[in-house]
Amino acid sequence: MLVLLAVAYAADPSIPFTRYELPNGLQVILMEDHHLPQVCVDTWYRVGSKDEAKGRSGFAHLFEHLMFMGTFRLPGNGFDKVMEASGGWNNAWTMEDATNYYDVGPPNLLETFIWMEADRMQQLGEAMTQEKLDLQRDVVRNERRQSNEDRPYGMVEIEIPTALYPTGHPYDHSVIGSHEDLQAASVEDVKGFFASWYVPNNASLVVSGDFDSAQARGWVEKYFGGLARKELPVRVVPGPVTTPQKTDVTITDQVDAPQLNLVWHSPAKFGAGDAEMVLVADLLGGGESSRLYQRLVDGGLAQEVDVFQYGLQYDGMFMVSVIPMSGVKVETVEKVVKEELAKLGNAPPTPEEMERLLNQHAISTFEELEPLQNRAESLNRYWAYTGSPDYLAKDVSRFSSAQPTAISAVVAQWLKPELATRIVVNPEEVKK
Amino acid sequence: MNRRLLLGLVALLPLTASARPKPPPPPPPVVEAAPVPVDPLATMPTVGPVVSFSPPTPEVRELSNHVPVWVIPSATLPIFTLVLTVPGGSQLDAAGHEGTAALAMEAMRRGAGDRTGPEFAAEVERRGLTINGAATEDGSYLTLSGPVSQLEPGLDLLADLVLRPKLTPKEIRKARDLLLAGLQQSFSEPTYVAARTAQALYWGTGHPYGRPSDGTEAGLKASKPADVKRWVKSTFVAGGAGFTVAGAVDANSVITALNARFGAWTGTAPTEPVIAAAPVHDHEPIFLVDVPDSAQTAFYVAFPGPRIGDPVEAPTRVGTIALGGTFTSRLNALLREKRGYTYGVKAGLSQRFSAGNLVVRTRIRTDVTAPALTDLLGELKGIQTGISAEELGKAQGAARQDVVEELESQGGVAGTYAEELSYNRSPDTIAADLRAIGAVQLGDVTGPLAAWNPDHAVFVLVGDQKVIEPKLREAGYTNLKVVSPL
Repeated sequence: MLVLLAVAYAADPSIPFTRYELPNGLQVILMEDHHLPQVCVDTWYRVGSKDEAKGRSGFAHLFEHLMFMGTFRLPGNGFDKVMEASGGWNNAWTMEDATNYYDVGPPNLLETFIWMEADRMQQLGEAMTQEKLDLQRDVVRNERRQSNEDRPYGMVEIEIPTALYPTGHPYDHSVIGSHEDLQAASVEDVKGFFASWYVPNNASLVVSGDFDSAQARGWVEKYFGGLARKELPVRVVPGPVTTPQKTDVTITDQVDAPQLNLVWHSPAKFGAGDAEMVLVADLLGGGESSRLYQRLVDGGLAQEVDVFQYGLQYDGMFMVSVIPMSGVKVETVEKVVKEELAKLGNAPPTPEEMERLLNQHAISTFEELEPLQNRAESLNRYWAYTGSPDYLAKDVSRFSSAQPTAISAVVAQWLKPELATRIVVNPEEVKK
Repeated sequence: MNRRLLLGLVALLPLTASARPKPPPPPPPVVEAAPVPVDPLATMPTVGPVVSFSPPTPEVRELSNHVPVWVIPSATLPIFTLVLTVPGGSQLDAAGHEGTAALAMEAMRRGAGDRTGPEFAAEVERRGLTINGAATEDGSYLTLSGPVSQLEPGLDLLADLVLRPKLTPKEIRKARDLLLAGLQQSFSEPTYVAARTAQALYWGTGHPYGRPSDGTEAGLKASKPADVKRWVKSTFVAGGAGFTVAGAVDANSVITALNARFGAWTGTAPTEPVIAAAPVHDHEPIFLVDVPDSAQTAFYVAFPGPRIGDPVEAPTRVGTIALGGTFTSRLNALLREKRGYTYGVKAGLSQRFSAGNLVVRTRIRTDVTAPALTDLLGELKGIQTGISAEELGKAQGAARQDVVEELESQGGVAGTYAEELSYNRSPDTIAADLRAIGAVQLGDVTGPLAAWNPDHAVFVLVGDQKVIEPKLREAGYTNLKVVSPL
């Protein structure tokens, strides 16, 4: 029955690279790919919203914005201007555990990319001003308005952290933060955060694309070699959390239909049970033949169902989100979700379902690795979470070797009804 | 004095001194001045010369029934993407039946050959395949992708879907209910409302490009199973159809496999409606759509623009990138990076086969809607006078990099070339467009930039009327008209 599985995984999944460490602790990963004339420099800092001080929610992400505001050597918007003048571009993102920056463009920009990343790693903090901070604070607050406040159902992700985690836990607040905390951030905060976390021994640099490794290695050593290693702040690793802080949350929004969200604590990223939980999400909500899609959407009870496992360094969260069809009550779709979870907790997936799950996962892995920046980011992610960039084969293997009984077991262990946080979004009329 | 000469003199001293009766005290040791360390970061490196880039040219073949097939082989990963395009999209929707094309595309995947909807979906997903489809204004497409080992079974499924769709009334009803629910949800999204309303006002609600390709509530409800079947039967025909295949495939095998399933496919393409030019807009009011208590105002501004293949496309694209196509473009530099009014602003081209638009899109903090509009108008006035050499170079580089990134994935390759095939353009079009962009001179840009004239544009602002309307009036914008979402 699982013949197709072998076919889908026939090509050995690997990302060829070389890795070394500078004396200052910077991890360097070089990945040549001459398929297209472009390069990507992906810099991963192991600092995210979990490292924010109390009263400074949203700061790691605000800091990410400030990283583009110029240094003494390259002031103003020089970072973007120089890059764009030759066809390059850049972007960045922040999550709970990390902040990632990437520069993409034609190969003739590579030395410039490496110089720019080293330059800001060295002196971004010193060059910080109140004016820069105020400007990016406004931009970030606009991002919050656009991505959460004015986006249908966008406030759910703001509610989840406080509902799941006790106060003081590193994940007890959203990455975007609150307006109040963003307003409170000072230039001293920025300089302190930079000095603490933006150091070579807390970063990994992936150079990828159409370049010569020997030449790139020379540039990396030339520009990053003189940066000093610093002692990192000591992190307190939180203890395990399995029960939510709130079990029932109701919010209102300018939407046409209500939304049911059920959220649980779940395995940490790459931890025991994480892969099985990803497969649970796919089994329930991945594709039109998934169980919840069939019962809820194909069955005419819901217009949308979304299920995912989101693993983090210290913990994970598993979420089922359903928008019922007009006239269908939230309780009706909730009953179906709970029935399907109970069923899966009691009986493993069928061989046909396993075949679908594993083939879909294999192909999505390949497709995910097509863009150069995705591959660069994968190497950094593997390094950050597992300590080894060379983890792709193991990553694939943890899915291909997943056992149906283990899938049932994680459902029974983690997704108990009494451990769920229920967040319901009601249309504003209901509030009135 | 240089360092080597000094050392030479010091070496001679003891010899000279040894001839004296009372030797003088030994000279102090020579301390070398430490070399001033050179900061490798002190100077930014110079950007080297651009590496040449030529997009691949597809292998052009055809099936036994003359349906064209473009194949772009690439063995980087064991996957493929195939795109089937047919002419005739939502422009074929009858008046009062807006959404028939969208409904048909949704319903087609709900059962084909001897499989019901759920059985069909299960078989596709079991094999690691994906089949998607949609109707645009100008045409419709189906995409098949997955492991290359599953190309043949995937083509069997695609052939069932195209040649033997079930289109049962029950599945069509389900598809319609989902589209209606999705449409309703979309109206909660200000950006969607702004774009949809602006396009309807720009083209006119009866114009094929003014009718939303995802339909209207009334149009979807009016589209009966018989309409859907008729649409599929008349649209999914061999005449005008084309296949584009990218990935770990070879052209001969692809042609053999396609001929076996689609070689006997027949039918003549439906007559496409004549697309009238957009009405001329002259000092229209600023249209407001009220969303009480919203934190931001969604802007969507539509201007006249070039159609696909228009001779002024390349210089227009260059000028548009300078205005709002990159992070340091004029609009983003001002409204985001200088003012802090927005998270981002974009200017771009919205092109179709017969006509096009230039558009500006952004979300502005509610309380600064009026000054942001003033800033926008200032930049629109400025861009009409031309761009700098620096902006020209930047735009040309960005356009080239866009193409490189479109070709990173098999889906991107197949999709990019499928668009060209569907518009009956040459297989060399991607490369030719890139050459045209590279050849644009400053003088070429100025003329097309006149299109960014706000006097002939349609402005739609979706936001909290009670806050933004008084402030707009106070700022001198008195020609306002409040409208419902279209």
